[in-house]
Amino acid sequence: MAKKYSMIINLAKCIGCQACTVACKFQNKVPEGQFRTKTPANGLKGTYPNVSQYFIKEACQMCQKAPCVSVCPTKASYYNEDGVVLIDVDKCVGCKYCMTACPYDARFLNKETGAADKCTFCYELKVSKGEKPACVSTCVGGALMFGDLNDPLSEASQFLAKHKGEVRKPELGTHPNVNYIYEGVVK
Amino acid sequence: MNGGEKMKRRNFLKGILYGTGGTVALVGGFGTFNYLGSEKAEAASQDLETTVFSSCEMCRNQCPIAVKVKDGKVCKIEGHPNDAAFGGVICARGNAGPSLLYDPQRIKKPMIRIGERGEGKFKEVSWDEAYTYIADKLYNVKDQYGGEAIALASRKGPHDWFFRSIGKALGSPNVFSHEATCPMTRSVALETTFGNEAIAADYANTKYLISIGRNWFEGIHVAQTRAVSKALSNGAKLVVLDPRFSVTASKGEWLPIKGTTDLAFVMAMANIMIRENLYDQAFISQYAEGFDKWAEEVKDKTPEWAEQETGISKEKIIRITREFAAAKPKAILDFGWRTAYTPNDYQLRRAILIVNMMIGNLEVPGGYYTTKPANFLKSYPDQAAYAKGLGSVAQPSFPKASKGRIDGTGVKGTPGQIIPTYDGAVGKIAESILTEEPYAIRAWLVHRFNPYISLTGSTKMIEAFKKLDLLVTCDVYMTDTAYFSDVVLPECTYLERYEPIFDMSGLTPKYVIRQPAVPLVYPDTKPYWQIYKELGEKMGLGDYFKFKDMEDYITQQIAPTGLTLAQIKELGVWTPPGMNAFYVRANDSKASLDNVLSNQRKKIEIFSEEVEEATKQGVPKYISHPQPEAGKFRFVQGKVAVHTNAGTANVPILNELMPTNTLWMNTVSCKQLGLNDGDEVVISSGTYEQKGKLKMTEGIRPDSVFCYHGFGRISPELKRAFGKGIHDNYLIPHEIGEVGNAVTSTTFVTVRKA
Amino acid sequence: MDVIWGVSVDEVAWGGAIAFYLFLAGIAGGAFLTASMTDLFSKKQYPKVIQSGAYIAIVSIIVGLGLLVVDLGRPFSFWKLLLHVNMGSVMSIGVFIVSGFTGLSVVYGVLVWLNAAAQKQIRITSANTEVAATSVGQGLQAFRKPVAGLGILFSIGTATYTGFLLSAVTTNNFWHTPFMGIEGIPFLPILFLVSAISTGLAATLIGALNCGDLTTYKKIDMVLIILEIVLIFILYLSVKPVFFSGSMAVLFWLGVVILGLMSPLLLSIYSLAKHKNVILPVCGMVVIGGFCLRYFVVYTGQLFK
Ligand SMILES: Nc1nc2c(c(=O)[nH]1)N[C@H]1C(S)=C(S)[C@@H](COP(=O)(O)OP(=O)(O)OC[C@H]3O[C@@H](n4cnc5c(=O)[nH]c(N)nc54)[C@H](O)[C@@H]3O)O[C@H]1N2
Ligand SMILES: Nc1nc2c(c(=O)[nH]1)N[C@H]1C(S)=C(S)[C@@H](COP(=O)(O)OP(=O)(O)OC[C@H]3O[C@@H](n4cnc5c(=O)[nH]c(N)nc54)[C@H](O)[C@@H]3O)O[C@H]1N2
Ligand code: SF4
Ligand code: SF4
Ligand code: SF4
Ligand code: SF4
Ligand code: SF4
Ligand SMILES: [Mo]
Repeated sequence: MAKKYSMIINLAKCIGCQACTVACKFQNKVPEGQFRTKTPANGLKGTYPNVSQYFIKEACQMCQKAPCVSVCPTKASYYNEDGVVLIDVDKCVGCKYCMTACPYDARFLNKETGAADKCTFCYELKVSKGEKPACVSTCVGGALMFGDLNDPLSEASQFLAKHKGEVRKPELGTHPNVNYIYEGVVK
Repeated sequence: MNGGEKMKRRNFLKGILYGTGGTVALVGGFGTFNYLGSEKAEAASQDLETTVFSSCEMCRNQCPIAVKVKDGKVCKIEGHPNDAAFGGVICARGNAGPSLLYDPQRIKKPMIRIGERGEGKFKEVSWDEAYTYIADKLYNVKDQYGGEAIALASRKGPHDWFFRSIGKALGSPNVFSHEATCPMTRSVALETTFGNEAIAADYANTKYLISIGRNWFEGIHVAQTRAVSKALSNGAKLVVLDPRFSVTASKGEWLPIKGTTDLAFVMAMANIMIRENLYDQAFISQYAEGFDKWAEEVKDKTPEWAEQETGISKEKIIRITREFAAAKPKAILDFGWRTAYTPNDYQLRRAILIVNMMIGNLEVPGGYYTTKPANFLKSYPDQAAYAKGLGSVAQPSFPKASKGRIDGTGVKGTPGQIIPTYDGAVGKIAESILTEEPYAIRAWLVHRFNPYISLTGSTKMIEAFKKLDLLVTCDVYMTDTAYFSDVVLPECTYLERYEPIFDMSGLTPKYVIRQPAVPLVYPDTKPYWQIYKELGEKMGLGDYFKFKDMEDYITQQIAPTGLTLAQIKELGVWTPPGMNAFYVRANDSKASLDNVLSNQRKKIEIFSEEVEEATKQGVPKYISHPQPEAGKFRFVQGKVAVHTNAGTANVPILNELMPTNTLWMNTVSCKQLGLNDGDEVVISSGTYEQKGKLKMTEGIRPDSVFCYHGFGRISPELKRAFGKGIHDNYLIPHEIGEVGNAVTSTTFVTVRKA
Repeated sequence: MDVIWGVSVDEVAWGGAIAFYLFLAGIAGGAFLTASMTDLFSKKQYPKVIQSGAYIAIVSIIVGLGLLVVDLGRPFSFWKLLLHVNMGSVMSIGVFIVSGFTGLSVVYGVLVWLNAAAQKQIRITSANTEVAATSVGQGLQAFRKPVAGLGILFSIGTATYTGFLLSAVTTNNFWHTPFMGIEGIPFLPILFLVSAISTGLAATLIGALNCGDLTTYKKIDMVLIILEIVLIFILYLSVKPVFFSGSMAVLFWLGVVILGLMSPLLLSIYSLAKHKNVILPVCGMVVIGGFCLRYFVVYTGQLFK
């Protein structure tokens, strides 16, 4: 059966340490000054001394109805057999149409290849070999989880059965495969 | 089409293009035709990747790592997959290792200064020239002023055995670690309370955790950070006392305490616990002594009083104390890591330990424990089978120093009595150079340490550098201190060297190797063991370095464990198979702690004879430190997750993430001063000024300002970091605490628009 | 947190080059339309207008395409746009429309040129070789009107395509704005078509500056400007006010509304009343206004996602 890979980001556990950010850069040879993922602070809320803050990892949301795929003129952006949105660097002309279409600012033009680039869920280098994505396996806070939602026994499925996962900008109908857990943070 | 085919086709294309000559570079510049690195192709060739197990040194925690090497280059670093405490995890800095390894701004050749000090003019020399130069100068100083005029200072670590041998062999007593800038007051407290510094906290199993400025989520130690995370996931409560809203504070209940008043909070906890009878009397009477004196000392340290001192309401103090006591013994009032806030910081740490002991949280899960290296396990019959200790490489005895140390360490009847002799008060070096009291240091060897950035009173530090006959720095970068040195020795990085096996024992013994993942990137750099061995040999001190190379050294080290070099190289990290975490009192709350308490009396010394003798304060006494008057701010600092102290500001990827720091100031204070977020400001300590950018935030006490440590670099050779940000220690006057510690939280500054 | 690392780089994917390309494609479409319509339907002879429109169309579309290619991350792989087709992607369809248009406009331009050359030949000389050349041209002139006719379809396609390109980005609230709130009828293609004709016409008139009475064209242009004002007004009413803030507000009010629409309209009315020739300032303002409009739309859509 085809897989439905999903990343789960447990915001209460994320400490904004950027281990994911750096791991991703090396795993995927992301050029200087560019990032497939970052984990910025989501501002500081409240007034002294009643304040709160959390960090929110940003990367491709792996939309199941991905605007980037539908606009791509060369089909360089595509869904692979496991529903992961990928970019065929060979086909990409670097027109940046996908970048304008992505509502999550997940894409950039790779300085070295000239092609569009973004998080791949580390599909080719890690996941297809049964390993976890680089960011997930180095997550210091233990905030990241990755797995197949079509497999009800996977850690990810089990976790989502118990906790409420939310996607970003659901109103856009992009149906992301990245789930955020807001339990324990002041949204 | 599969990856292999695709690759072939592109290679073919590339071949054709190369055939056409000059145009390729141009076409290639657009990344179109000769782009081969598609991930599919890479995935296919990834099987050529090899893994070398080693340990990280992006900070001194030495987490076990798995270094991925491809085509002879380190392409990625991951956490060691087979270590439960680390869980295959490394932090951002650890991940950034290859960025340091391949940084073209590393120092690549030994250098000798040719211009004036601080002018930055050096000539590259051979190692032999460098050794000869150092040897001549050192012998000159020794002949003229005695071996004691030579000081050595390094970050504490495995290099010490080699580095320190040089100084000790020359008869110098003045060998220092960096600890006085870091956890030394905690060490003093542990030593004087338990007679044992090797005490750690079992965060993973605790139910209630109070931090007094300990910032696990920014001052990262992967195993500790993960353990705290785990405890929180299991429902543990976290309370954080910190004048500013750290990331750690954001994960718990933040109590923005007035800086330097923590001891009041801790004493009030004791007061409440005694008054409400919340403490473990059985534990205290069995294991401790001097409790009465403590009870007497805290009798008037009421929550009402503490509220006045700390700014935390008495209701909160009472509630937290009750919650803490209710969670006993699985509760931890944390003893801190960087513990250099005030001159009498060691008393805060002593008080913290005492309050912990009042809930009997020693040698039980979720409390404190002594580390369990092999020699410790030996005395427990059911554990003895796991005790496989490391051996050592023999050294002849060192000559006895003819004079005492410059910092008075070890002198009975003075505070120096309780300063750990291994560490010393490193801040005294600059003082001795400048004041020549008790006598002058003339030569200073610095290894893996950057006193200009790391120690307070930077201007004095420069003056001191300038007065020296010899300053030698061994580092991987041309640091600010190196910039003022006579000789700069380029070490290779941790990814290119062997080191002694590192004993990382915690609840079980654990040994970690460091081995080269790749050959030297810059062939004229060397590992420390070779540098000091060769320097020693040049100086006729070869007898202290009786090993062929580090493989030989390690082989000698691990011989008693029954492991071989090949085995430990393959494993990377070794723990006795089958051994479980061992707590002496896990199953028997009355078990003897005689092996844990290494002091003479085998008691937890709530009243410490030693401290009484040294400072006349056998139980912690409260000293009220001044609070900032209107218009002034307490200046506090801390760690940031993406940098290490003075170490990484220039490491490419980390610099990319955070090239500079800012000055945090509360919104209300900004408004009062007419300042805005992002303003350029001048921060003034009265004598000294630094420029910086203001960050307006709700996350700090209105009477305090804060910046991350490690910025404002003055060595132009640190090209990325040079001149960026605020250098905290430029503003903090050089004040040495009662037991030799640096003092970093008692400085007041004013801030104005630049 | 201090820091810097969090802030996403607010990089605009499509910048000035793309705005200029959209603008030029509009000009090209509008100019072609002006020329070909004149060629096909006008009873009066406006050879200058036809020539001006035909040439401007070629130059604009080629320069525009050049910009588009240069703006690609991988300019030398532009041909892959023709090789890999995604019928669901407006850009992919657009590539074929614009390519068709470019081809047709070049052919048309050559025919127009040959025709003009022939007219000149007949008037001036009758040397053997030149007659031969022109007679080939004369023979080909039979294709001119069909090419013009087909070209009309493609020029409308090109002009509207630039609007569809943006409006197809369904996740972009601004670009995706529907016409009068009617889901399914995107706003930008309509606006861009009107603006394209208006700017194309204006550019053509600048090119045919001194060739007699262009009153009809001026009137058409006025109608177009009025139409565009109405459209802009509708746009203003149908999107969130945030889209008209910051630096883009200046561009919108000064560049698009005042310079590009109001001033030329008032000036045109004045000139019609007073019979003054103000083609250059009016058309100049219309053209610049057209560029401001594209720039405004391209940037606003990305800055206020
Ligand atoms: N990412 C990262 N991790 C590191 C390091 C690093 O540089 N970077 N360094 C390593 C080292 S060497 C160490 S020692 C540890 C340090 O680990 P910690 O000691 O946990 O780290 P700091 O950030 O120095 O924590 C100091 C905190 O104390 C607060 N503070 C200042 N004055 C007072 C006071 O008077 N009272 C109270 N209650 N709080 C106060 C500061 O605001 C700051 O948040 O981290 C280690 N891990
Ligand atoms: N005001 C203020 N001062 C502070 C602090 C604070 O928070 N506020 N923090 C304090 C603390 S907790 C500490 S621990 C100290 C830390 O300060 P230091 O003891 O100076 O240690 P680091 O900054 O970690 O690193 C020192 C040097 O080691 C070099 N280095 C890295 N790897 C290698 C290697 O493999 N070989 C060699 N030879 N050199 C290497 C780095 O380039 C760096 O120059 O600073 C203290 N100073
Ligand atoms: S987040 Fe953006 S890049 Fe990723 S699938 Fe969705 S639209 Fe595409
Ligand atoms: S940049 Fe590449 S992936 Fe994105 S739309 Fe254009 S061709 Fe497709
Ligand atoms: S899944 Fe892989 S590509 Fe995506 S953010 Fe994580 S490390 Fe980067
Ligand atoms: S590694 Fe984990 S904890 Fe750290 S920033 Fe990334 S998601 Fe957050
Ligand atoms: S805490 Fe981070 S930098 Fe320090 S040794 Fe571990 S992985 Fe390396
Ligand atoms: Mo430290």
